[in-house]
Amino acid sequence: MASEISAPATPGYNEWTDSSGQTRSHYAAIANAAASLGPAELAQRWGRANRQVGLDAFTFYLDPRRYRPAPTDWVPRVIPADHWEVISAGVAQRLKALNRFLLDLYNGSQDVVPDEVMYTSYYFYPEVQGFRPPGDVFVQIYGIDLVHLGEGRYVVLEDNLRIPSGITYQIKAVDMVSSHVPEFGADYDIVPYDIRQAYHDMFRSLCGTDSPVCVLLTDGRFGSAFFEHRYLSELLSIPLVEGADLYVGYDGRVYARTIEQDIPVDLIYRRVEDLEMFVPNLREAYMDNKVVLVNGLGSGAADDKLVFMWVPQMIQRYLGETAILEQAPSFNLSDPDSRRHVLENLDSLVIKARQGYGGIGVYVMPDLGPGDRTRVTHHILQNPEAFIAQETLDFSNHMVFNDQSGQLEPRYIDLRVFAIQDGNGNVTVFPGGLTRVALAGGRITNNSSGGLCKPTWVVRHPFQ
Amino acid sequence: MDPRTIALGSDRWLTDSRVYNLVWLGRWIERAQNVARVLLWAVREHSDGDEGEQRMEEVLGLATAIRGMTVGPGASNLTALLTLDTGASLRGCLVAARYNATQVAPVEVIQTIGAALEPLDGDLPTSTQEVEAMVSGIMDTLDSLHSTIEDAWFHSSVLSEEEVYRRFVQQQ
Repeated sequence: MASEISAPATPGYNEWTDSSGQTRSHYAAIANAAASLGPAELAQRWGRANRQVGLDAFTFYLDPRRYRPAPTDWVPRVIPADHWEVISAGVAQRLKALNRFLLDLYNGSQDVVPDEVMYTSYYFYPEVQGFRPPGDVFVQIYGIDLVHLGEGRYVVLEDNLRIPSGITYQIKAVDMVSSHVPEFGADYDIVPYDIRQAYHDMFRSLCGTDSPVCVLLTDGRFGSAFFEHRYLSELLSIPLVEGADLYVGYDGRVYARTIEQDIPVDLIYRRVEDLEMFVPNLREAYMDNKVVLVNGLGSGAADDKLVFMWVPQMIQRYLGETAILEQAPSFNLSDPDSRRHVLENLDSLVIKARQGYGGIGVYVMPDLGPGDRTRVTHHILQNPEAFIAQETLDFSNHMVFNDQSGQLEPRYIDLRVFAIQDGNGNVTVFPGGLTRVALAGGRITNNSSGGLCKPTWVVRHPFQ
Repeated sequence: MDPRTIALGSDRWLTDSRVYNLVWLGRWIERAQNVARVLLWAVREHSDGDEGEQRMEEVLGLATAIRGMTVGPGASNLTALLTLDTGASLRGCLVAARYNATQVAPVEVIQTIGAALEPLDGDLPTSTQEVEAMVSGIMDTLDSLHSTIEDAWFHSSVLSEEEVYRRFVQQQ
């Protein structure tokens, strides 16, 4: 193991060092702490933290048959407060516009996205037409994936509007680093937040009562993000239930079966997509306003990666504003000219399935071999409306500590930021987010594709 | 306003899935303790000398047969009872128990089961003395589970606001 820690130079924007190789001012305190501790001590801390991850069942399963502690790197990512101000304003703006769009979509008057795009979206639910959810909010919990191109330029890669996961991975990673390597944060003024209170306020505003009965509906302990379901249930003090624990009664209300009595439920924080499979007739109960769903049914229509192309126009149309955050330049493969352009420039693009999630159906063409490129080309030619193309962005790297070699190694990172919108239209964006780290040599950061988590702080100036 | 009112006692609800997982958590832990007891008895009573080791294998062979385990030719009954990838081995019982615990139990219970599993996830000991020490340690950990459950579960009320703040908010 090396006796000193150094940060290697990288192509693209390096979060840790500037172009001359100097540590950026907002990382100086972490770099100093790492140097003081030394590689051997850091490796020991990493070992203790990783053991704790396993013991706490802080897991992310790729295969439900294999217990898998969530792989995490404990070197924090630091976002300066001035960067965060822009991100936060941009995320709030985007969430408000998306909710206005969904309300228009299901109430028959949206004219932003072409019908042929909207009606071919897998998550467009015609049965929701004419339905107005509480507070006119379809998407209460929002996750947005961003990449940093450098110097505060954050670009949106995609929106997650159905059941975005990761918020507890954000909390747990920050919690763990403050417990196991407190030296990293000693000299920073980290912006705090209170998810519990914000969620409770949101639940109350949606139900219109101070004491709503809320449950968290899980797909069970073998689900990939089950840790999040369990942790949120404890954090929010709401019961964790499976589909079989709920039923829709003759009065149309949803009840939870318990040994003592059947309890009417006001709100279901659902972490499953196919509601009918888990709770028969739940859709009718929702449409009859007998129960609140978080997130609302049909919200995935705006989660479609092709609909994503029209979000700047939604912001303009519904809020009368220009989008604060840029988004990755994208191409609609249903359009013949765009398709031709994409096929001619395939080597420099990312191809995404419209309904994909968790890195599934994402092809970073520059990183693929010839056989895979041919296969993707065939898919596009056979079914162009099922895909979109995006420019491959040269986004930022961050350092990951390798506890075997005792050295820092660069990896691509992104940032998933979480926000909520309550029944009164108020938006709260939680400072920081979950930084996801790609595997060595790759650019796909999704946890479902094997990516790591990284604690993330928003810190106020001045940096010590 | 007290945020706890939002869920009417929350984790005290005994739903179908909660009861299911509680029952199976108890069953898997009990099975794990039974396997550990058989292993301890075998290595303590039947492992003196070459003849003793042969007797131990015979005893453990019976134990695997009773549990319906298929041990391949040349494979050790001892290793099978420790780690074979079925619900009949010590490790298999504890893995299943941990899954049930994640659905219903406080994190302290999950941590205790995880600690019992740790020695079985590494390189297994080769001598009977080391096996005895390892299994004894696992038994001690499982015995401590009872007090963990007592302390973390039955004697605790719904998390106080102070505890919630300490666990979730303060460290952010």
